[in-house]
Amino acid sequence: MNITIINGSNTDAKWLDHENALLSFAKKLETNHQVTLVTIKDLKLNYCTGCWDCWVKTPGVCMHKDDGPGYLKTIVKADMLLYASPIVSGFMSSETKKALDRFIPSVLPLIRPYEGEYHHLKRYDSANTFGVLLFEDMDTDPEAAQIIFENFNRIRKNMRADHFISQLVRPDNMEVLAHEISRY
Amino acid sequence: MKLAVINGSPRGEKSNSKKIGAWITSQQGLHNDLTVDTYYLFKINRQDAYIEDLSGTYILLFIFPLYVDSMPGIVKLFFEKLEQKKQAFGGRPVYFVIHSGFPELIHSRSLERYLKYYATKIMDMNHLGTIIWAGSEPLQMAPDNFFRKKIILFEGQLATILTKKRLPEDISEQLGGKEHISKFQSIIYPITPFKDFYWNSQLKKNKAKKLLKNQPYA
Ligand SMILES: Cc1cc2nc3c(=O)[nH]c(=O)nc-3n(C[C@H](O)[C@H](O)[C@H](O)COP(=O)(O)O)c2cc1C
Repeated sequence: MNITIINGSNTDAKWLDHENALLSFAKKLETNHQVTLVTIKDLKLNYCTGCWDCWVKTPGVCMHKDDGPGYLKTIVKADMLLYASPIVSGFMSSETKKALDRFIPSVLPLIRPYEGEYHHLKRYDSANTFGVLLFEDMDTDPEAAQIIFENFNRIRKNMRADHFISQLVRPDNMEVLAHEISRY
Repeated sequence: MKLAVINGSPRGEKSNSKKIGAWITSQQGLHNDLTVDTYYLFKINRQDAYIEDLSGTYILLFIFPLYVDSMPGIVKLFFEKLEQKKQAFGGRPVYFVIHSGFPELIHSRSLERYLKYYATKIMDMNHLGTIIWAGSEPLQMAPDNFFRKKIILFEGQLATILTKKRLPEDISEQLGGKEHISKFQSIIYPITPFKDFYWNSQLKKNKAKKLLKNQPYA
Protein backbone atom coordinates (compact mmCIF):
# COMPACT_ATOMS: atom_id res chain seq x y z
CA MET A 1 0.00 0.00 0.00
CA ASN A 2 1.13 3.57 -0.72
CA ILE A 3 1.07 5.66 2.43
CA THR A 4 1.63 9.43 2.27
CA ILE A 5 2.21 11.38 5.47
CA ILE A 6 2.04 15.16 5.35
CA ASN A 7 3.90 16.84 8.19
CA GLY A 8 2.26 20.21 8.82
CA SER A 9 4.45 21.28 11.76
CA ASN A 10 5.31 24.91 12.12
CA THR A 11 8.80 26.07 13.10
CA ASP A 12 8.10 25.89 16.86
CA ALA A 13 10.94 23.85 18.45
CA LYS A 14 8.37 22.51 20.91
CA TRP A 15 7.33 19.86 18.37
CA LEU A 16 10.80 18.61 17.40
CA ASP A 17 10.50 15.36 19.36
CA HIS A 18 7.14 14.70 17.68
CA GLU A 19 8.66 15.36 14.26
CA ASN A 20 11.55 12.99 14.94
CA ALA A 21 9.12 10.35 16.14
CA LEU A 22 7.11 10.89 12.94
CA LEU A 23 10.25 10.16 10.95
CA SER A 24 10.75 6.88 12.85
CA PHE A 25 7.03 6.12 12.41
CA ALA A 26 7.42 6.49 8.62
CA LYS A 27 10.57 4.31 8.65
CA LYS A 28 8.78 1.62 10.60
CA LEU A 29 5.89 1.58 8.11
CA GLU A 30 8.38 1.19 5.25
CA THR A 31 8.92 -2.43 6.31
CA ASN A 32 5.57 -3.36 4.75
CA HIS A 33 4.54 -0.36 2.63
CA GLN A 34 5.71 2.34 0.24
CA VAL A 35 5.86 5.45 2.39
CA THR A 36 6.35 9.12 1.48
CA LEU A 37 6.81 11.74 4.17
CA VAL A 38 6.39 15.35 3.03
CA THR A 39 7.26 18.23 5.35
CA ILE A 40 5.32 21.29 4.26
CA LYS A 41 7.58 23.89 5.89
CA ASP A 42 10.50 22.55 3.77
CA LEU A 43 8.58 23.20 0.53
CA LYS A 44 7.95 26.40 -1.35
CA LEU A 45 4.16 26.22 -1.22
CA ASN A 46 2.04 29.32 -1.68
CA TYR A 47 -1.42 29.83 -0.23
CA CYS A 48 -4.34 29.01 -2.55
CA THR A 49 -5.73 32.20 -4.12
CA GLY A 50 -9.17 30.77 -4.97
CA CYS A 51 -8.77 31.48 -8.71
CA TRP A 52 -10.14 28.09 -9.83
CA ASP A 53 -7.76 27.92 -12.78
CA CYS A 54 -7.16 24.33 -11.61
CA TRP A 55 -10.80 23.56 -12.43
CA VAL A 56 -11.66 25.69 -15.44
CA LYS A 57 -8.45 26.76 -17.24
CA THR A 58 -5.79 24.11 -16.66
CA PRO A 59 -7.81 21.26 -15.11
CA GLY A 60 -5.83 19.49 -12.40
CA VAL A 61 -2.92 21.96 -12.51
CA CYS A 62 -2.55 24.84 -10.03
CA MET A 63 -1.45 28.19 -11.42
CA HIS A 64 1.25 28.64 -8.74
CA LYS A 65 4.77 27.91 -9.93
CA ASP A 66 6.03 26.30 -6.75
CA ASP A 67 6.45 22.85 -5.17
CA GLY A 68 2.71 22.14 -5.53
CA PRO A 69 3.06 19.51 -8.32
CA GLY A 70 5.41 17.35 -6.21
CA TYR A 71 3.03 17.60 -3.25
CA LEU A 72 0.01 16.69 -5.40
CA LYS A 73 1.84 13.73 -6.97
CA THR A 74 2.45 12.22 -3.55
CA ILE A 75 -1.12 12.66 -2.36
CA VAL A 76 -2.88 11.41 -5.49
CA LYS A 77 -0.92 8.15 -5.53
CA ALA A 78 -1.68 7.43 -1.83
CA ASP A 79 -3.94 4.63 -0.73
CA MET A 80 -3.71 6.04 2.77
CA LEU A 81 -3.26 9.77 3.32
CA LEU A 82 -2.37 11.05 6.79
CA TYR A 83 -1.93 14.68 7.85
CA ALA A 84 0.19 15.21 10.97
CA SER A 85 -0.26 18.50 12.78
CA PRO A 86 0.47 20.22 16.05
CA ILE A 87 -2.42 22.03 17.71
CA VAL A 88 -1.85 25.75 17.20
CA SER A 89 -4.35 28.30 18.48
CA GLY A 90 -6.68 25.39 19.19
CA PHE A 91 -6.77 24.06 15.63
CA MET A 92 -4.58 22.41 12.98
CA SER A 93 -1.52 24.54 12.12
CA SER A 94 -1.65 27.10 9.31
CA GLU A 95 0.97 25.00 7.45
CA THR A 96 -1.43 22.04 7.53
CA LYS A 97 -4.33 24.23 6.46
CA LYS A 98 -2.33 25.71 3.59
CA ALA A 99 -1.49 22.19 2.38
CA LEU A 100 -5.12 21.08 2.62
CA ASP A 101 -6.32 24.08 0.59
CA ARG A 102 -3.82 23.12 -2.12
CA PHE A 103 -5.56 19.74 -2.41
CA ILE A 104 -8.31 21.27 -4.57
CA PRO A 105 -6.78 20.50 -8.02
CA SER A 106 -7.11 16.81 -7.17
CA VAL A 107 -10.92 16.91 -7.17
CA LEU A 108 -13.26 17.76 -10.05
CA PRO A 109 -15.52 20.81 -9.99
CA LEU A 110 -18.49 18.50 -10.58
CA ILE A 111 -20.72 17.89 -7.57
CA ARG A 112 -22.66 14.75 -6.65
CA PRO A 113 -24.19 13.62 -3.36
CA TYR A 114 -21.96 11.50 -1.11
CA GLU A 115 -23.06 10.23 2.31
CA GLY A 116 -26.17 12.42 1.99
CA GLU A 117 -24.29 15.69 1.31
CA TYR A 118 -23.06 17.53 -1.76
CA HIS A 119 -19.37 16.89 -2.46
CA HIS A 120 -17.05 17.13 -5.42
CA LEU A 121 -16.16 14.08 -7.48
CA LYS A 122 -12.64 12.69 -7.27
CA ARG A 123 -10.22 13.44 -10.11
CA TYR A 124 -8.08 10.43 -9.25
CA ASP A 125 -8.89 7.05 -7.82
CA SER A 126 -6.97 8.12 -4.71
CA ALA A 127 -6.82 7.44 -0.99
CA ASN A 128 -9.64 5.45 0.48
CA THR A 129 -8.25 5.94 3.96
CA PHE A 130 -7.75 9.45 5.25
CA GLY A 131 -6.70 10.61 8.65
CA VAL A 132 -5.06 12.94 11.09
CA LEU A 133 -2.25 12.43 13.57
CA LEU A 134 -2.55 15.20 16.10
CA PHE A 135 0.54 16.03 18.15
CA GLU A 136 -0.31 15.80 21.84
CA ASP A 137 1.52 17.31 24.78
CA MET A 138 0.71 18.30 28.36
CA ASP A 139 -1.17 21.41 27.22
CA THR A 140 -3.51 19.61 24.82
CA ASP A 141 -7.13 20.52 25.48
CA PRO A 142 -9.41 17.54 24.74
CA GLU A 143 -12.07 19.96 23.47
CA ALA A 144 -9.69 21.34 20.82
CA ALA A 145 -8.68 17.81 19.82
CA GLN A 146 -12.34 16.88 19.50
CA ILE A 147 -13.07 19.88 17.25
CA ILE A 148 -10.07 19.08 15.04
CA PHE A 149 -11.00 15.39 14.70
CA GLU A 150 -14.54 16.37 13.78
CA ASN A 151 -13.20 18.79 11.20
CA PHE A 152 -10.92 16.18 9.65
CA ASN A 153 -13.83 13.78 9.44
CA ARG A 154 -15.58 16.42 7.32
CA ILE A 155 -12.51 16.67 5.11
CA ARG A 156 -12.58 12.88 4.76
CA LYS A 157 -16.04 13.23 3.20
CA ASN A 158 -14.78 15.98 0.91
CA MET A 159 -12.09 13.54 -0.23
CA ARG A 160 -14.63 10.72 -0.53
CA ALA A 161 -12.49 8.40 1.57
CA ASP A 162 -14.43 5.58 3.22
CA HIS A 163 -12.13 5.05 6.21
CA PHE A 164 -11.01 7.53 8.82
CA ILE A 165 -8.08 7.49 11.23
CA SER A 166 -7.87 10.07 14.02
CA GLN A 167 -5.21 9.73 16.65
CA LEU A 168 -3.51 11.83 19.30
CA VAL A 169 0.19 11.08 18.96
CA ARG A 170 3.12 11.54 21.31
CA PRO A 171 6.74 10.57 20.71
CA ASP A 172 6.15 7.53 22.93
CA ASN A 173 3.04 6.09 21.23
CA MET A 174 3.84 6.41 17.54
CA GLU A 175 5.64 3.06 17.39
CA VAL A 176 2.50 1.25 18.57
CA LEU A 177 0.46 3.11 15.98
CA ALA A 178 2.94 2.16 13.23
CA HIS A 179 2.52 -1.44 14.29
CA GLU A 180 -1.29 -1.20 14.06
CA ILE A 181 -1.23 0.53 10.66
CA SER A 182 1.30 -1.95 9.31
CA ARG A 183 -1.33 -4.66 9.63
CA TYR A 184 -3.78 -2.75 7.38
CA MET B 1 -17.19 53.90 17.29
CA LYS B 2 -14.89 51.83 15.08
CA LEU B 3 -15.76 48.69 13.16
CA ALA B 4 -13.06 46.58 11.49
CA VAL B 5 -14.25 44.40 8.61
CA ILE B 6 -11.59 41.72 8.28
CA ASN B 7 -11.88 40.11 4.86
CA GLY B 8 -10.30 36.65 4.90
CA SER B 9 -10.89 35.70 1.29
CA PRO B 10 -7.82 34.81 -0.77
CA ARG B 11 -9.66 36.55 -3.63
CA GLY B 12 -9.40 39.83 -1.73
CA GLU B 13 -11.08 42.74 -3.46
CA LYS B 14 -12.76 40.48 -6.03
CA SER B 15 -14.33 38.28 -3.39
CA ASN B 16 -17.87 37.38 -2.44
CA SER B 17 -16.73 38.22 1.10
CA LYS B 18 -16.22 41.81 0.00
CA LYS B 19 -19.79 41.98 -1.31
CA ILE B 20 -21.17 40.60 1.93
CA GLY B 21 -19.12 43.12 3.93
CA ALA B 22 -20.47 45.94 1.76
CA TRP B 23 -24.05 44.77 2.38
CA ILE B 24 -23.58 44.65 6.14
CA THR B 25 -22.06 48.14 6.25
CA SER B 26 -24.26 49.75 3.60
CA GLN B 27 -26.26 51.69 6.23
CA GLN B 28 -23.18 53.07 7.96
CA GLY B 29 -24.22 56.62 6.98
CA LEU B 30 -27.04 56.36 9.54
CA HIS B 31 -24.50 56.18 12.37
CA ASN B 32 -22.79 59.53 12.90
CA ASP B 33 -19.78 58.56 14.94
CA LEU B 34 -18.99 55.36 13.03
CA THR B 35 -15.72 54.60 11.22
CA VAL B 36 -15.54 51.42 9.15
CA ASP B 37 -12.11 50.14 8.11
CA THR B 38 -11.55 47.09 5.94
CA TYR B 39 -8.52 44.80 6.22
CA TYR B 40 -7.60 42.23 3.57
CA LEU B 41 -5.82 39.20 4.99
CA PHE B 42 -4.67 38.03 1.54
CA LYS B 43 -2.04 40.77 1.91
CA ILE B 44 -0.04 38.41 4.09
CA ASN B 45 2.90 40.79 4.51
CA ARG B 46 0.61 43.34 6.11
CA GLN B 47 -1.00 41.03 8.64
CA ASP B 48 1.38 42.08 11.46
CA ALA B 49 0.70 45.76 10.83
CA TYR B 50 -3.05 45.07 10.81
CA ILE B 51 -2.80 43.50 14.25
CA GLU B 52 -1.08 46.60 15.61
CA ASP B 53 -3.87 48.68 14.15
CA LEU B 54 -6.64 46.42 15.44
CA SER B 55 -5.35 46.46 18.99
CA GLY B 56 -7.21 49.80 19.26
CA THR B 57 -10.91 49.93 20.03
CA TYR B 58 -12.42 48.22 17.04
CA ILE B 59 -15.38 45.87 17.04
CA LEU B 60 -14.14 42.95 14.92
CA LEU B 61 -16.17 41.46 12.06
CA PHE B 62 -14.46 38.60 10.23
CA ILE B 63 -15.88 37.57 6.83
CA PHE B 64 -14.41 34.65 4.93
CA PRO B 65 -15.32 31.65 2.75
CA LEU B 66 -15.26 28.01 3.75
CA TYR B 67 -12.09 26.40 2.34
CA VAL B 68 -11.83 22.62 2.54
CA ASP B 69 -14.23 22.53 5.49
CA SER B 70 -12.65 25.31 7.54
CA MET B 71 -11.06 28.74 7.18
CA PRO B 72 -8.64 29.59 4.33
CA GLY B 73 -4.98 29.05 5.30
CA ILE B 74 -4.33 32.82 5.33
CA VAL B 75 -7.03 33.25 7.97
CA LYS B 76 -5.52 30.52 10.15
CA LEU B 77 -2.15 32.23 9.83
CA PHE B 78 -3.74 35.47 11.02
CA PHE B 79 -5.44 33.74 13.96
CA GLU B 80 -2.06 32.39 15.07
CA LYS B 81 -0.46 35.83 14.86
CA LEU B 82 -3.39 37.38 16.72
CA GLU B 83 -2.95 34.91 19.56
CA GLN B 84 0.59 36.22 20.06
CA LYS B 85 -0.98 39.59 20.93
CA LYS B 86 -4.01 38.27 22.76
CA GLN B 87 -3.61 40.58 25.77
CA ALA B 88 -4.72 43.49 23.54
CA PHE B 89 -7.92 41.70 22.54
CA GLY B 90 -9.41 40.42 25.82
CA GLY B 91 -13.15 41.15 26.07
CA ARG B 92 -13.24 42.50 22.51
CA PRO B 93 -16.60 42.09 20.68
CA VAL B 94 -16.14 39.76 17.71
CA TYR B 95 -18.51 38.52 15.00
CA PHE B 96 -17.89 36.05 12.19
CA VAL B 97 -19.54 35.54 8.80
CA ILE B 98 -18.64 32.31 7.03
CA HIS B 99 -20.05 31.40 3.67
CA SER B 100 -19.72 28.30 1.56
CA GLY B 101 -20.10 26.99 -1.96
CA PHE B 102 -22.24 24.04 -0.90
CA PRO B 103 -25.82 24.87 0.09
CA GLU B 104 -26.01 22.92 3.37
CA LEU B 105 -25.20 24.38 6.79
CA ILE B 106 -23.66 21.12 7.96
CA HIS B 107 -20.47 21.87 5.98
CA SER B 108 -19.73 24.91 8.16
CA ARG B 109 -20.86 23.70 11.57
CA SER B 110 -17.50 22.32 12.63
CA LEU B 111 -15.79 25.60 11.72
CA GLU B 112 -18.52 27.50 13.60
CA ARG B 113 -17.70 25.42 16.68
CA TYR B 114 -14.00 26.18 16.32
CA LEU B 115 -14.56 29.93 15.89
CA LYS B 116 -16.43 30.06 19.17
CA TYR B 117 -13.66 28.08 20.85
CA TYR B 118 -10.96 30.32 19.38
CA ALA B 119 -12.70 33.57 20.31
CA THR B 120 -13.62 32.56 23.86
CA LYS B 121 -11.04 30.00 25.02
CA ILE B 122 -7.95 31.09 23.09
CA MET B 123 -8.50 34.85 22.78
CA ASP B 124 -10.81 35.65 25.74
CA MET B 125 -12.86 37.77 23.36
CA ASN B 126 -16.56 38.52 23.62
CA HIS B 127 -17.96 36.23 20.90
CA LEU B 128 -21.33 37.60 19.83
CA GLY B 129 -22.24 35.25 17.04
CA THR B 130 -21.44 33.59 13.75
CA ILE B 131 -23.51 33.86 10.58
CA ILE B 132 -23.33 31.02 8.09
CA TRP B 133 -24.48 31.64 4.55
CA ALA B 134 -24.56 28.27 2.85
CA GLY B 135 -24.45 28.56 -0.94
CA SER B 136 -22.74 31.90 -1.65
CA GLU B 137 -21.04 30.93 -4.90
CA PRO B 138 -23.93 32.10 -7.15
CA LEU B 139 -22.86 35.62 -6.15
CA GLN B 140 -20.28 35.30 -8.93
CA MET B 141 -22.96 34.43 -11.47
CA ALA B 142 -26.18 36.27 -10.64
CA PRO B 143 -26.99 39.98 -10.19
CA ASP B 144 -27.40 41.35 -6.64
CA ASN B 145 -31.18 41.69 -7.16
CA PHE B 146 -31.38 37.95 -6.99
CA PHE B 147 -30.29 38.10 -3.32
CA ARG B 148 -32.57 40.95 -2.18
CA LYS B 149 -34.00 39.20 0.87
CA LYS B 150 -30.56 38.13 2.05
CA ILE B 151 -29.15 41.61 1.48
CA ILE B 152 -31.87 43.12 3.68
CA LEU B 153 -31.13 40.59 6.39
CA PHE B 154 -27.38 41.32 6.24
CA GLU B 155 -28.02 45.09 6.31
CA GLY B 156 -30.18 44.65 9.38
CA GLN B 157 -27.31 43.14 11.38
CA LEU B 158 -25.27 46.36 11.50
CA ALA B 159 -27.38 47.86 14.28
CA THR B 160 -26.93 44.68 16.34
CA ILE B 161 -23.19 44.72 15.76
CA LEU B 162 -22.74 48.37 16.65
CA THR B 163 -24.69 47.95 19.88
CA LYS B 164 -22.51 44.91 20.66
CA LYS B 165 -25.54 42.67 20.96
CA ARG B 166 -25.72 38.98 20.20
CA LEU B 167 -26.77 37.99 16.68
CA PRO B 168 -30.06 36.05 16.47
CA GLU B 169 -29.46 32.36 17.24
CA ASP B 170 -31.26 31.33 14.05
CA ILE B 171 -29.65 33.88 11.74
CA SER B 172 -28.16 31.19 9.46
CA GLU B 173 -31.58 29.55 9.07
CA GLN B 174 -33.14 32.98 8.42
CA LEU B 175 -30.70 33.28 5.53
CA GLY B 176 -32.36 30.25 4.04
CA GLY B 177 -29.83 27.67 5.11
CA LYS B 178 -30.90 24.06 5.51
CA GLU B 179 -28.82 21.71 7.61
CA HIS B 180 -28.89 18.87 5.06
CA ILE B 181 -30.19 18.18 1.59
CA SER B 182 -33.29 16.01 1.53
CA LYS B 183 -33.23 12.34 0.53
CA PHE B 184 -35.25 13.34 -2.53
CA GLN B 185 -32.67 15.96 -3.58
CA SER B 186 -29.84 13.51 -3.21
CA ILE B 187 -31.65 11.03 -5.47
CA ILE B 188 -32.82 13.54 -8.05
CA TYR B 189 -29.64 15.66 -8.29
CA PRO B 190 -27.49 13.19 -10.27
CA ILE B 191 -30.18 13.04 -12.99
CA THR B 192 -30.86 16.79 -13.12
CA PRO B 193 -29.99 18.01 -16.66
CA PHE B 194 -28.19 21.33 -15.97
CA LYS B 195 -26.28 20.42 -12.84
CA ASP B 196 -22.84 20.88 -14.44
CA PHE B 197 -23.82 23.81 -16.64
CA TYR B 198 -21.74 26.48 -14.88
CA TRP B 199 -18.52 24.44 -14.89
CA ASN B 200 -18.99 23.23 -18.44
CA SER B 201 -19.58 26.77 -19.69
CA GLN B 202 -16.46 28.03 -17.89
CA LEU B 203 -14.37 25.21 -19.33
CA LYS B 204 -15.77 25.87 -22.78
CA LYS B 205 -14.99 29.57 -22.51
CA ASN B 206 -11.38 28.66 -21.71
CA LYS B 207 -11.22 26.01 -24.47
CA ALA B 208 -10.52 23.42 -21.80
CA LYS B 209 -13.70 21.33 -21.95
CA LYS B 210 -11.91 18.20 -23.13
CA LEU B 211 -9.49 18.49 -20.21
CA LEU B 212 -12.19 18.47 -17.51
CA LYS B 213 -11.15 15.07 -16.16
CA ASN B 214 -7.45 15.52 -16.87
CA GLN B 215 -5.14 13.59 -14.51
CA PRO B 216 -1.79 15.38 -14.88
CA TYR B 217 -0.21 13.64 -11.90
CA ALA B 218 -1.50 10.07 -12.34
C1 LIG C 1 -9.69 26.17 -2.29
C2 LIG C 1 -11.17 26.25 -2.11
C3 LIG C 1 -11.77 25.40 -1.21
C4 LIG C 1 -13.14 25.46 -0.99
N1 LIG C 1 -13.70 24.58 -0.12
C5 LIG C 1 -15.04 24.60 0.11
C6 LIG C 1 -15.66 23.66 0.99
O1 LIG C 1 -14.99 22.82 1.61
N2 LIG C 1 -17.00 23.70 1.14
C7 LIG C 1 -17.77 24.62 0.49
O2 LIG C 1 -18.98 24.61 0.66
N3 LIG C 1 -17.21 25.54 -0.34
C8 LIG C 1 -15.87 25.55 -0.56
N4 LIG C 1 -15.30 26.47 -1.41
C9 LIG C 1 -16.16 27.45 -2.07
C10 LIG C 1 -16.10 28.84 -1.44
O3 LIG C 1 -16.44 28.82 -0.08
C11 LIG C 1 -17.07 29.76 -2.20
O4 LIG C 1 -16.71 29.76 -3.54
C12 LIG C 1 -17.11 31.19 -1.68
O5 LIG C 1 -18.23 31.85 -2.24
C13 LIG C 1 -15.87 31.98 -2.08
O6 LIG C 1 -15.95 33.26 -1.47
P1 LIG C 1 -14.90 34.43 -1.71
O7 LIG C 1 -15.13 34.95 -3.12
O8 LIG C 1 -15.23 35.46 -0.67
O9 LIG C 1 -13.54 33.88 -1.54
C14 LIG C 1 -13.94 26.42 -1.67
C15 LIG C 1 -13.32 27.28 -2.59
C16 LIG C 1 -11.96 27.20 -2.81
C17 LIG C 1 -11.33 28.12 -3.81
